[in-house]
Amino acid sequence: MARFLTARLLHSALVIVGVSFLVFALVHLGGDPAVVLMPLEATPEEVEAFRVDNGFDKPFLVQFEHFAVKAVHGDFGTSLRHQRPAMEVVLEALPATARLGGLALLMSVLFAVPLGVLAAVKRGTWIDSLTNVLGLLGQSVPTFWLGLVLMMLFGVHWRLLPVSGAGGLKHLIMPGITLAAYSGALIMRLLRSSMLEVLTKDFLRTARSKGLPERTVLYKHALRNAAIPVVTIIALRIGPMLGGALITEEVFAYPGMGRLAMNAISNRDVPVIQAFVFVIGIAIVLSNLIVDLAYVALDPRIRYS
Amino acid sequence: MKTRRGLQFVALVLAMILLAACSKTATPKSSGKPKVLTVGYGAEPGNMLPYGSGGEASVRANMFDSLVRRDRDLKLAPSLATSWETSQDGKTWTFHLRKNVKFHNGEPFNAQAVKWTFDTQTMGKTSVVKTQFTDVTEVKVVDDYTVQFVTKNQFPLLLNYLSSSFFAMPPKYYQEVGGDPGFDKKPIGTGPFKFVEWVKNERIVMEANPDYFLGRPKLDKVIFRPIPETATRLAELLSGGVDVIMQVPPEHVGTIKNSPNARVEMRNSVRVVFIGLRTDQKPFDDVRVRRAVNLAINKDELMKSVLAGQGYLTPGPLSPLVWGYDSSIKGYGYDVQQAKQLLADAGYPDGFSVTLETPVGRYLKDKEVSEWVAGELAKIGIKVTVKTFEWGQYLEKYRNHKYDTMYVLGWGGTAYDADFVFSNLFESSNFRSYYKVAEVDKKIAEARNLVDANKRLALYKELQEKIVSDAPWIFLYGQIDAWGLANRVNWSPGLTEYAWLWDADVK
Repeated sequence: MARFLTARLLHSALVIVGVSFLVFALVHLGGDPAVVLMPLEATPEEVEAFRVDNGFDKPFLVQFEHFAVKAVHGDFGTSLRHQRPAMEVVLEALPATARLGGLALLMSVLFAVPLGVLAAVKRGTWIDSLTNVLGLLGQSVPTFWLGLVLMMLFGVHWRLLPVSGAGGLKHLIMPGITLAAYSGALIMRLLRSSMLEVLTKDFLRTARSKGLPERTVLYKHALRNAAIPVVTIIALRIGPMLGGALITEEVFAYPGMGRLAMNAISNRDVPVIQAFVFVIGIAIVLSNLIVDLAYVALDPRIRYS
Repeated sequence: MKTRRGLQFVALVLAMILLAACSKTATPKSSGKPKVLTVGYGAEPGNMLPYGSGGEASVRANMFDSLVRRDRDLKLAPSLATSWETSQDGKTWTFHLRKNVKFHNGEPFNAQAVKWTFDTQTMGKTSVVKTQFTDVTEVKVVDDYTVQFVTKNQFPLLLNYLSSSFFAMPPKYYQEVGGDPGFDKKPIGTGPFKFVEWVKNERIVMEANPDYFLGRPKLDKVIFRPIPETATRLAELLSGGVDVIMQVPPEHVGTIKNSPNARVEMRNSVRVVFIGLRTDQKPFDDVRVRRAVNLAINKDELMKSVLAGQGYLTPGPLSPLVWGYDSSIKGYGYDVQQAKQLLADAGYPDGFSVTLETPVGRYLKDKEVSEWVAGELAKIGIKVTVKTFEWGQYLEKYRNHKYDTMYVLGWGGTAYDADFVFSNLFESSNFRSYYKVAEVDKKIAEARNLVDANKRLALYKELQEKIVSDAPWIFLYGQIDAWGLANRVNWSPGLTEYAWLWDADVK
């Protein structure tokens, strides 16, 4: 187990270095930060001075080496727009995103698990069809559209919830639902098919025939066996929930990392983009690791050595 | 960008349906409660440093003051300086400072503070405005309340640039908090509102400065909330979440007008939108072709149908809001026959093919305007291919000055002086110019270093006539900005394009 963990962590470190390099390259292909950050009326000399001050005049590989050496020491440079350490700017926005993403993930699981099981058990009935439609809608309705519909109904028309921003739990409801819709639908559909497969298995017949109550059969035996692909998907959704809450955060003017990253990209704020990708990279790698460990808990047959 | 426009459309449709179904009115506020006004605006500032890049004019204006300020009609008015005069040779400006003014932390405002701010901040290493003041050689403290700016030649734009780009900062406090990082956490100025807190990406809160030199503001508190989506800003205004929204797009204007809770106010912006022509190459090296394309566009119709009224006619390169604009200048009318004739005379009876490059989402309806212009030019046989760019990509073209043939650009700024347009866009030594005329260069340089207002005006009149006649651009229009205001707000925005809230009140 320890060897497995060490290997995985080393592997993860390599992945993060690789991703950092790719993003660094892509950001640089995307254009010259000086061009975007300097005011329209700036003279070519000022733009050049800015470039030299920030090291953008150096060759690409030299800039990357510079970045990498500093990043290893935890220094991601100073944000060009905020004039503060880039990592500080990103980490400030992390809790808000984690709150929203965590709630959305919870919402999607709470929505998906009972409905997914129900749909599988009641296969072919109207309940199954209804959840099917819900699943289809959840996965295909555009995020911004759903967000705006909720906003117009609950915020403007009924005035039950604040339209946008952050503050209390009330502020999290609409963005939470918006963000949860896709994942919830995805998990539900996956769980349904996974359950259907498990329900035909011999061990369930055995469980029933030895007189276990139906609920125990479903939730203890069937669900646990159907859960492995579902847990994988839930964990894989952690990354998108953190980094991909972009549109939801924009629509609801929510102070999270996605919006920060969006802003950084349009302002070519390279250090902030780098720090953001790094944080997301770590989150994804960690969530994958957690999945691998969760397998062991879920399925005693799985062992790492 | 596609999503954004889709978004706005969806929001509009929804808002109309919902508003038709709902006719609630805002709950009245009882008196005695603190008066709070919330502003919803697009992008939050990167920092609170008055001279750094990424600042926000509305936020800055309410916390800081300059020596002179622009009033709501853009006239220069006393602020931290109560009066000023220039010397005989026009190279020394003496400012008499307001007495008994204190910074928010109690530190006195005086001539030393002005000199320190100018020397170390305005001209500091990271300042983005220092090139505006390269003509200033020295700032002298005459006594506690008198300060002199000495310039190397006559510098008529000193007041313009001071009003837009100089913000008095407290020297002792700045050093105590350890410079920029400390100051960014708690900025201190002399303005009508004091900084309270900045919750990143969520809100900036300020409270009334009871000792403000023009008198205490009527509001107790001001909150600035960054809301990137225009549809969300609209929803916030309609639901009473915010009181003032800026940059309302044309498609939301009607919704606000129909709301029982809010109103729209339109203000002409100094930003002039035009289509630049590559006068250095065929076919636009021929003035007849340039005049032809100017004549081929029905600008009244363009402003009415594409901009939904959010544009005003600019006959030449200047907005009437700019000092130096000459109202006798006649622009190009709409005359397709004459345009065709000019093209034929120039040797293009069957027209030609060109590209028109445009940013998307930078200016009001920029892409739609470009497509509309392409349609107009097709009527005189010119085939225009519209190429669209994200703003960052477009800026690279702009910086490297590598346009194909025609390009859309807007030019505004806060100098409100003809020089800011001519020096930047028509002087041949400037990287932005394809138009190179020695006579024009001479006049621009002459006017730049002349404090005699009448002589300058005469030069700018000649320049405008010459440039309209040479037509290096397709002259289009000035933008009109729409503000959305809740009915409880007792305030109307000025022409300054930012929200200075000293005189604002709420019911």
